[in-house]
Amino acid sequence: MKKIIPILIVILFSLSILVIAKGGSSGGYVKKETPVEVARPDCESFSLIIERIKCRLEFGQKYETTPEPCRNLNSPVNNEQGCTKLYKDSLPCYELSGTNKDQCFKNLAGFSKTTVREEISTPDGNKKVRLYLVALLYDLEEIVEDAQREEKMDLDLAAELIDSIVVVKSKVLQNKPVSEVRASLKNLKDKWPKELK
Amino acid sequence: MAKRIKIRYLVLITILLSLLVSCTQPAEIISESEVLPTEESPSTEYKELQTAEDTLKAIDEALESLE
Repeated sequence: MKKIIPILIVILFSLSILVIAKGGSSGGYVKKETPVEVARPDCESFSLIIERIKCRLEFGQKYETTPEPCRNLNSPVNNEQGCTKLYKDSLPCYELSGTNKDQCFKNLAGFSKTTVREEISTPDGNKKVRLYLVALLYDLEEIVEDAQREEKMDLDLAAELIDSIVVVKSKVLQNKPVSEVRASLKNLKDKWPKELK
Repeated sequence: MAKRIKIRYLVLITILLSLLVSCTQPAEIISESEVLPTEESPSTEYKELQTAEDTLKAIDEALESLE
C-alpha cells in the first residue's frame, strides 16, 4: 500500500498539469510562463504598441493586461470591460478548428443565425457581426504567433503583422466605416507572407 | 495472500485510471455531437476555418455584409 499511494499521486499530478492558460501577444491573459525567469522586461513599459507586441512575443506576458484593441474603448460596439470579457470568453474557441471554430465565434458574438448575411438584418446585427470580425482577426493573430513560435517567421515581421491586426480590430470595435476597416485590412494583406496560408 | 492484495491494487488502479480518462472526455464528445450534421442545423452553413486564407475569406464576407 505504501508503494501504491505515491504512484497514484504521481499519476494524478501528471494528468492535472495538462491544463494550459491561453492568451495573446496583443495583451490580455497570460499565455504561458517562460521556463526561466531571466531579466524579463515589463512589456507594458514600452510606449509603442508594436514594441509591446514584440516584447510579449519575445519574453511572454508577465501579468494579465487589457488587450490592446480594448484600451480606452467606448463605442456602440463595445466598451473596455466588455471587450476584455469577449477576449477571455473567446479563448476556448481557439482550441477548435473548422466549422466548430466558426460556430464558437458566432455563438460568442451572440448570433441567432448561422450566416453573417442573415445575422446582419437582425436587431444589433451590425454589433454582432463586428464582434465576430474581432474573433476572426484574433484567429489570424494566433496563426502569426504560431508561425513565429515555430520559427517559420521572424520576430520583426510577426510583430508588424500583429500590430496591423490590432489596427484593424480597433477600427472594427470603434465602429469605424467599413471603408476605413477595408483600408487597414488591405495594409495587413499586403504584408501577409505568401507562404503563410 | 500477497498475490491477492497485488491483484486488488491492480484492479483499483485500473478503475481509477479509467475514471480519470472518462472524466476528461465528456466536453469534447458534447462539442462534437453539437456540430454533427442534422436536418435542423446543417453544418455547411458554418465556415471551414482551417487556414489563414479561410479566415481572411470569412473576414471579407463579414465586411461585405456590413456595407
